[in-house]
Amino acid sequence: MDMKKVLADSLGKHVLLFTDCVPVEGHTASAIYDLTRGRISTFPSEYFPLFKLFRTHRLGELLDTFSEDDRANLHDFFGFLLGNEYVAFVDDLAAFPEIPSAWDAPCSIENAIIDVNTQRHDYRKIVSELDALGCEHLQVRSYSPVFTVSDLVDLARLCRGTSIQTLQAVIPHDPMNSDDDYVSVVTSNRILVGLVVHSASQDRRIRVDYGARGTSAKLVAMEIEMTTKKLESDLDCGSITKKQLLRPSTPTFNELHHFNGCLNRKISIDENGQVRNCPAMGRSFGHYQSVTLSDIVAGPSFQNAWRARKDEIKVCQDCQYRYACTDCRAFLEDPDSEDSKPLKCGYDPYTDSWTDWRGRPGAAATWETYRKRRLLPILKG
Amino acid sequence: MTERLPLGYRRILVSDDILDDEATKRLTFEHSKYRHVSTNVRRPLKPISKVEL
Repeated sequence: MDMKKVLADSLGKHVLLFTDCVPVEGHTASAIYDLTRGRISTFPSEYFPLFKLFRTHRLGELLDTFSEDDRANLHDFFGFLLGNEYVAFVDDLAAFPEIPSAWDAPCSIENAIIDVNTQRHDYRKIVSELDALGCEHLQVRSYSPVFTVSDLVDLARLCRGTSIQTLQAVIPHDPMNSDDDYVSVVTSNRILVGLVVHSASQDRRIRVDYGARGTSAKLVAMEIEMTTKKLESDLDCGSITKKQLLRPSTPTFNELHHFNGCLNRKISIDENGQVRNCPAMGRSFGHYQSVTLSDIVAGPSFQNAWRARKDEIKVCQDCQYRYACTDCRAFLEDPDSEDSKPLKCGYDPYTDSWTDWRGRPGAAATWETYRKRRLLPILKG
Repeated sequence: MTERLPLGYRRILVSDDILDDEATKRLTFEHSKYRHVSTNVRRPLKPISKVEL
């Protein structure tokens, strides 16, 4: 593409950044979220002010505000924008109204976690109460052999005919189970859309064959993930890595604008039966056997955590990935500050670099604090 | 296949057209009161938790 010619032909036009391509400013790098194609591109934040000029200046006026030297860089930037189909040159910007940013869901609770360790729970009661809340997605995480494959089948059966549309399970490997046993559970329970088997003998994936071939196979693809990693408790949660960033979409982008990506419309039962926003968070709202989930959810104190927006969290508010990150409020870099960034996040928006969070100064000591709270539950509350 | 299912569902589920050279197995759907759930399997748009694997 001869960028000079393309720009010269459009000097009298406006630059339209497509309304489903949303710029997000970061400290060092900024991003464009392509909400339709589900991808994020980053670029140096020095270019970010251009998007404001797009709204007020035609292309010719805009280029005139820059020196000859800067224009060469601008040509490169327009090459990036046009090459990714983020912009077009148009006569009237008003013909392209912004996509509304409101978010809501047709349920009081969108997803739930049940943790299992040394004791079994009354799954019938829990599922029934989640159904009353319209809960759509359920994840069960087991850290011990107390929760068996047979329990998983029973749980899947309990979910049928309820509002729960998908069930995910993280369970320890049982040497008595063969690959076929795990595959059989998945294929006979279509509600089960994710199965992770931890404490396995080797890292591998078992492909579940639903009989589809070719392109249609991609639509129904499912793999059981076997991992040697041993998950012992809710301390093993809260990890934020590059690969865990959300594939952007309008619903998730809007939700993360207004609410916390992890805790919004979530309810959790920890391994001891305590109801919390997240199993690893300090505050308990009572034991599920002695309270009603609906009563807890209706309370304003439970919903406070839903509104922990990334825009109000230190460091995260300067990160260009803040609307693609589901955050963690359980483990914070500074446990005494509610608006501290997640401890287990390895991204630094000031240097635009990913590193292992364990290597950050003070991270080991902070983690030890959380581990001690875990060993002394009275500290957890 | 029960007679109570609406025509649209019957046409989709009983047709042999869904079995072709790309699909070799017929899936059996069990319809609940949330019938749309079994025909359009939804996935959560975001991870429910972020366990370290």
